[in-house]
Amino acid sequence: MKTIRLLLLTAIFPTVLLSGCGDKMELDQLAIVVAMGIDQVEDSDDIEVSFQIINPHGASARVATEGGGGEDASVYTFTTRGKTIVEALDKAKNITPRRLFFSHIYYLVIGESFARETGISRLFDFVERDEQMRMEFLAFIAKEETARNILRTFTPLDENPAKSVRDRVLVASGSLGIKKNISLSDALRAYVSDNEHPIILGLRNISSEDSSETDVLHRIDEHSFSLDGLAVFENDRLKDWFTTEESQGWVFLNGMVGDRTVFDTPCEGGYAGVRLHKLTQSTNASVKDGRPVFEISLDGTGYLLETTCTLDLTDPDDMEALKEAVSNELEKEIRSTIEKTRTLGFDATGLSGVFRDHHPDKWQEWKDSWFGHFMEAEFIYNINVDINLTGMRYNAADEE
Amino acid sequence: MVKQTADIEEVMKVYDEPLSGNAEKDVARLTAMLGQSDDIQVGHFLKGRIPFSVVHLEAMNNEEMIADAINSPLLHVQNQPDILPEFLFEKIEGTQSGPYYSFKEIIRSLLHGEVIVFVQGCKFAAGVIGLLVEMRNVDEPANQTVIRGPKEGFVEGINVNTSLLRRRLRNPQLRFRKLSAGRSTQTEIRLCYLEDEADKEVLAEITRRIESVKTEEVYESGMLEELIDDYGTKHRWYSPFPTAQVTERPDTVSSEIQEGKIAVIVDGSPMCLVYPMTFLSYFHSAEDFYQRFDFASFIRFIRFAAFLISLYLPSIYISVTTFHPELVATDLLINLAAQREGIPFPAFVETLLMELIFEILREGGVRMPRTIGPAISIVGAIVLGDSAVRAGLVSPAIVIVVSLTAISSFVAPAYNFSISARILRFVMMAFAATTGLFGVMIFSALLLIHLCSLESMGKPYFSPLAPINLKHHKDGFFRFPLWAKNVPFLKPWIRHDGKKENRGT
Repeated sequence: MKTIRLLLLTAIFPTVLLSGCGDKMELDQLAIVVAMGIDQVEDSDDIEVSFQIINPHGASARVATEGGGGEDASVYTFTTRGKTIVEALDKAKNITPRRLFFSHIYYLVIGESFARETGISRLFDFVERDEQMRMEFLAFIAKEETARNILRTFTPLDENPAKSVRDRVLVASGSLGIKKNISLSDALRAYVSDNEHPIILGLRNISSEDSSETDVLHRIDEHSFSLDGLAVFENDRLKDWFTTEESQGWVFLNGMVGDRTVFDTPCEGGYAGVRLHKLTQSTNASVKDGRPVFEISLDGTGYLLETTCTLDLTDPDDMEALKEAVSNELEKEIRSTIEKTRTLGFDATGLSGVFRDHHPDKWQEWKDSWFGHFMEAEFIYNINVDINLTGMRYNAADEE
Repeated sequence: MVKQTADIEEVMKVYDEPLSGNAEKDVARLTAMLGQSDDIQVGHFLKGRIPFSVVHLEAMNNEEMIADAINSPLLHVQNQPDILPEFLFEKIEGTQSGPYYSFKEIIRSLLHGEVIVFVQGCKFAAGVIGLLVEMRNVDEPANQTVIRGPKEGFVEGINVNTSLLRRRLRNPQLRFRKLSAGRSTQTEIRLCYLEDEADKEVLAEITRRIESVKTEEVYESGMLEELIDDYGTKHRWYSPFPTAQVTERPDTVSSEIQEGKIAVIVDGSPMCLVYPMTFLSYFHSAEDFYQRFDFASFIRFIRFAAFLISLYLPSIYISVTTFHPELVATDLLINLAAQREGIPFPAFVETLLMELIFEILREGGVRMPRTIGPAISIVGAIVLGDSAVRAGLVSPAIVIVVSLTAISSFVAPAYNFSISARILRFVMMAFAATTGLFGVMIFSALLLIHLCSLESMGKPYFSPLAPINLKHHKDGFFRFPLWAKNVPFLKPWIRHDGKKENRGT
């Protein structure tokens, strides 16, 4: 017994003491990477990797240390290039005095030319293999822009530009009304499965040409970037962009919608804006006369935000008409997505997955020629939106 | 009659000598044995028909009471014609012990504060007890205070302490057993228990351990605890956990005795030991039973959380910031990183530094003269806390971690228990600094194994968690209401016969 105890002690204590604090990283030895950008270098096989690292001293608004100022930039962005991401990363070690730390990445942004020409599959291996990378960060495609320029843009309101980008999706949720984020792992999942195609959020730089990058921000509209549509991939190559309306339809089709505002419902004499919440979506697939049939149901309630219509909202019939108009607007969005997809030459709607789940046998038969069947598909819309609040008043203000 | 341990007997053996029967000679012999020590007060009354002598130690006994109880009645009967010498003892107006036939017994009684009466012609002497000068008054306990509950605490005098217990437990089954330990101090020790409730094995074990104590001195129950406790034995010396409950509150001791535990009262110490002890008892306070049960349960939960904080917080801070920064929320990590900018030390040294500073402050706070108290607080709080941050020695987060740890360590009702958390915290920090949360996990597992293996006087220390006993959890992490049957009288080693019931209307 005594020997066993001694053996145990001699085994445990050296393990702890002789480990010599291996793998130890003090916080001030870390360069916390909050965003990464990938670009294609023109006329070369190289890729350009941009790292946005946080400068804690500038980014933390509540540091009370004496002599420190909030004058420092909150993030620094630098760019390296190489044949592989690892090569670019290795070169980054020569630039930064600290170890790059990837666990806190907010988002990854991919330049449009890289997505079109090189293909995003080149990223997946590194991201999947690296132990510090989390797969749940957001992915964006820089629309008509390089990723590098997106990362070099400072943003208003938030000390940390990466957080500001993430919050656009998660908190403000943009015009698309997406309730869950589209992460790189979603894209990877779509890439590896049959007949599904990755969809990634788009990010457009809206900075004006002459505004300087490090200038203290005065105008939010001149120096920022905005969410803009969805990027449609065929396998790993960017093929086309969904417009905002088509993107909204895609969000409905994939059941990812949270709260949404329908802002341009045409109605008698003007437009109405309606805020929708509690939206539930379901899609049912069936086969009729050798053609796939999709029944798209959408239920929800909403409340009126603004109207310039001549409708009398105290009248139930007119209210019905408004509901009808909102439902039609939603139907139009979904239709536009399907129409767009039909012009692309492949099915990017995500409906193939729905069909596969409902009719696995038929899917096996059809999967190689799915797009042909998709072209023939019939769509039934069951859209039912209830408007149960009209805000603080009934009719438009100018009616009285 | 105090039972003497073997080594005290050995010391006293040289005085084993019968009395001659001549009072004057016997007193002379006694003072000679005690080396003519100047504090021996001898009163000779040799002129009467039956001469007698009174011996006591200076300032131990009340002189006036000696005169009233012994001298005057004995002098009064001198005039009666046919009185026998033995009859004289019966005239003493006080409680007697003895008769003592040898100097060994006389010396022992004398040193314990008895007044010795020698009578000419008797080959024995009597001791008069109860004339001791009163020491400190019963006062509010200094350390274990309560908001609601009795404000009495034990004092140094063992007789007063005994009476404090008797006044609470009027149970005829209450027993006191006298023992003594310490060759030089001959300290009186009393075991206190309920005859029908106490576990006989525990009683036998405590008696055996105290009787086998071999030491020169016992001034405080802490010294006795170290000699009879498990951690005093060679195979458990490394255990940082105390296995005795230490309390200065008679109500706590009464309640423990009532639950079948055994109290050890040591003369000269206001701190009483209670055996056996369980781990969870350290989160219990006397007040838990004086306040509402829901509040008491909540407070117990707070105490438990505070114990975990005082043990783990610095280690978790070290391991998370140096080994696992991915575990921290990004915004918090950025703030922490901002605070660490320009700090010259690694997180471990930083924490160690502040912990050591705090330990020094705490020790300084205990030892310093009372009047300097506020000065120390100012130096500690402002100079060391705020200025250390401003000077860039430590980061503000560390100050928060260390102060929260420090405050948490004061929450434990038992001081001797918070000490073990204090020591273990540093070991835990070393593990955290070398292998991160993995090391913290290893050390926690070792602690848990150790706790499960501990015993308090032969009873499982980690009970009722291991071995698990759900019934006893009525008074464990939670305090169930008193009317929930047999609470708080359930303890793992007590039989459960439903005899003790709490019921209202």
